[in-house]
Amino acid sequence: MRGLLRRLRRDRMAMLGLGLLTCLILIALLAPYIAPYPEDVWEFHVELRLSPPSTDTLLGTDRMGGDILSRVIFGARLSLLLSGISVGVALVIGGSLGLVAGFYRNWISDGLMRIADVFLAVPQILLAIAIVQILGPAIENVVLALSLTYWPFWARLVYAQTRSISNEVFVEAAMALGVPAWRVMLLHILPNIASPIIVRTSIGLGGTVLAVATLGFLGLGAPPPTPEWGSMVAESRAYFPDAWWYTLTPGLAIFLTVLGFNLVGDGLRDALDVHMRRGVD
Amino acid sequence: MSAVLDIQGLSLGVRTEAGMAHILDHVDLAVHSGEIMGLVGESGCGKTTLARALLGNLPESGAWKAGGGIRLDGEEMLQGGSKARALRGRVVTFIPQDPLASFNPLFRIGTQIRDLLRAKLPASESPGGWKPAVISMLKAVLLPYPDAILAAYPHQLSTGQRQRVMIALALLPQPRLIIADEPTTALDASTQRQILGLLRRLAAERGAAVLFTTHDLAAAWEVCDRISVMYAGQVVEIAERDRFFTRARHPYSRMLLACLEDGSTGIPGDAPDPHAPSAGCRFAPRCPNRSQICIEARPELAVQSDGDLLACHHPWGDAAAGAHV
Amino acid sequence: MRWLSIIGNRLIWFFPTMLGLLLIVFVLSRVVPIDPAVLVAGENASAEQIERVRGHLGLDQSLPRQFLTYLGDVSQGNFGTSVYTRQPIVTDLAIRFPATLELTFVAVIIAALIGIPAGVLCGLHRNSWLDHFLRVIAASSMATASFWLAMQLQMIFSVELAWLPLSGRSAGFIPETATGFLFLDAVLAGDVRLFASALAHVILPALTLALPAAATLVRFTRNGVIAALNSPSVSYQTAMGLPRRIIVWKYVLRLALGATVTQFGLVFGVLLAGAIVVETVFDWPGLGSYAVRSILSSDYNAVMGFTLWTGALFVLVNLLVDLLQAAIDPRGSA
Repeated sequence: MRGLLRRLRRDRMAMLGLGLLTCLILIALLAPYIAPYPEDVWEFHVELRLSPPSTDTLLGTDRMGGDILSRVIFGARLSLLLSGISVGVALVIGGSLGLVAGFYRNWISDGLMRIADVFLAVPQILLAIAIVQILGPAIENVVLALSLTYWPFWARLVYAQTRSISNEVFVEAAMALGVPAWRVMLLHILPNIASPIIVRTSIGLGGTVLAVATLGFLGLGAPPPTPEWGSMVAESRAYFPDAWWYTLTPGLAIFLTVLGFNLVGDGLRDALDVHMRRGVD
Repeated sequence: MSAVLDIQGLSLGVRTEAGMAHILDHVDLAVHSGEIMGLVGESGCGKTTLARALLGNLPESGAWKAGGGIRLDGEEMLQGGSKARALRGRVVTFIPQDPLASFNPLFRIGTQIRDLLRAKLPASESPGGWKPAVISMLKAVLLPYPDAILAAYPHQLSTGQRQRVMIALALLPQPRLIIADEPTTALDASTQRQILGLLRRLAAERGAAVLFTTHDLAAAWEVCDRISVMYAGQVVEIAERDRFFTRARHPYSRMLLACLEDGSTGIPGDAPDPHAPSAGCRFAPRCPNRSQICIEARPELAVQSDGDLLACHHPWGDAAAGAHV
Repeated sequence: MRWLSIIGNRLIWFFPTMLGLLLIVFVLSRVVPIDPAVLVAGENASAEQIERVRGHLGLDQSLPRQFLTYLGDVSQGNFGTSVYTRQPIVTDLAIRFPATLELTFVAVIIAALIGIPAGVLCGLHRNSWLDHFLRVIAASSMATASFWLAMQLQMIFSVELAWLPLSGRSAGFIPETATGFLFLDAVLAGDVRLFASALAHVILPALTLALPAAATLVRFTRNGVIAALNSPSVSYQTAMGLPRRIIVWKYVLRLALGATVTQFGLVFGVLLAGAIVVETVFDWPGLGSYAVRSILSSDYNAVMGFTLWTGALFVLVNLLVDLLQAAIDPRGSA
């Protein structure tokens, strides 16, 4: 474990990602205190609309006159919340299904995996678009849509991992000793398949932030004036390219957030991979 | 007799996360022209590292610190310069442990052989091209239908066939030394005997010396002229084959031979941690003959009356071996 | 013979998967709060007009019956009519598919030209500054929202520099084409202007689409090269003194590329998902924008048709990847 952390610390890219994520989380947590104009999340100042960056509004104002910096800061909260919950729900539900299915391996498991395959046959974003469109633009529907399209991925991943681990001797030994199935799954199998799950979670969070932004860009998601990054970019399209600051900030926010998750995920993958290989020799 | 391979004071350490691991410690070893030298030891004793150092194959992942030298026909091999590279595949060749993994699975055998020969043997040496020489060598290693072998992919051959091809490849450049790294581990017992016999005969015919590493004493007996024993990165004994099997002197050699005779599982105790080497003999903790001096001072590899070499303070049968600690 | 078993395997699961997919989309489409009959009849239709349209569309039948009717139609090649375009959906798909195909094709070429050499360089010079630099760029590419990138590219190249057109597939009307592939048609007809126009229009969207795919290829190729460099066969060839450049550029490269090809299904998935957004932003008349528009205008027959088409496409691509893999790797047992 200590070797793992040391390896991670030496990976400069992973540390950069970690730094980005820490900033992001801090910004999200402290949003009401660090945003210069927190009330701009829902208030309009039409007389100030579309003004370029100035000493008052460091990153300019949007079409409703709201301070873009403040709205982007609050947008961090939204993005983290939405992606966190979506990935969490998909991971818990899909992962549990995959764990049980991989452990028992009967016709029910096969059927479950086939159902997962059906979901995976079309691009995830398309299914999410359809679901949100049907249910209507709202935050809960975004989470629902993303969880619904993401769970099959986790189910498949955990299923494959569980199956390969189940063949190990220690699982047989535990079963032979009479350890109840649920204990074997939770205490024996789960810790051993944790590594790839952790790596994919980080990368998955990045991807989900992008998906939330894409939905927002297409007008699906929380309705205005919710400060969602993707919808802010969509709004800016009409005033493009004159109001260049309008696109820049939310786009940059998306970029830095996803980059953070990706770098940490990559770093974790490298550190864990060497770790595992090291165990072999 | 001249020494084809002359290893003097070779020390190799690699920096790992847990610190510096001293894999090889002042190894002295000489292989004479035309002789087959067996290098025997348990896994982890460093014999594979030794072979890799000679062949320029040390994994680059670690930071290697080297001391001493490896001279092949007078040329220093440890530095890894272009001269050393030129010798590999020509003056010294290699027979790997796993012949399947050592072929590239995506290319035919013939293609891989041709690339090796084109690089290592100038065309002028073989009139008519490389193919006749290869065919005759494949026949010499008792492979029927050599053309079929050349056209095949590695996975289409049996393990025994693949290892024969490896032997053929090792002999083709007419080397002075062949490094055979546990070449029969992947084979079943009867194939092992065939391959070993083949190797011994062909090497003798062509005057090539062989450094044959193994953990299997029985295989060493079949093939070798002399036996070197390694323990934890140190050479502890080098003896002529018959003398070794009848009256080896080092306690570790003796215990290995005992295991061979009664088929017991092994020697009690664990191999020492290469990160924390002792100043004395590394075998001392497991040695029944150990005394205080063994723990403090490392025994030198000394020439015995019959020409063999031994590194031990209390050889087997020594009267003073009773002063246990 | 192996080819047959590969194809057979894929086909066996094709139909149940398609069935399941259609079922899901069908259920989704009937859960819609918007009544398709109203959409077709128009906002100002009277109640009885709407009823007539409903009967005409078969919406008065029970749900299972509707589904079966739909399946029956599909098996005869009738995917229904699009509410939006008022054309048979099959026609819509036939027009739009070549557009997406062309875009994806150009994107794949760009991604391969950038991604594979970069991945090879990274793998060969592992942990060097070049490796880190290229990997950061790759990670950044994956982190960039394609809709945002599209807008920036449009701003720079279409507005500021005015080198390239803003959107669309070609200048003016898309001419009545023989194959549906503008490049092919231009070559066949010797029409240089059409070729140039198609090229100018395809660059920005293809570039936007190619970027995440290139980044993915960098990662896979890099890993493949590193694994190949550490393989026992390379160890053997090094021990036998084979010159480094032959080892690397002949043997390692083949091993690494073989590993990359197996991931092509994944790359295709990335491209298809990307195409949805890219086509929407660039107004590219392909399947992606068709799907989005169909969903947003509640044109559910079109959505189902698109889903069917995409599913089949995925199966085809996976099949091709399997066959390609078998062709490259003579072992085939994996």
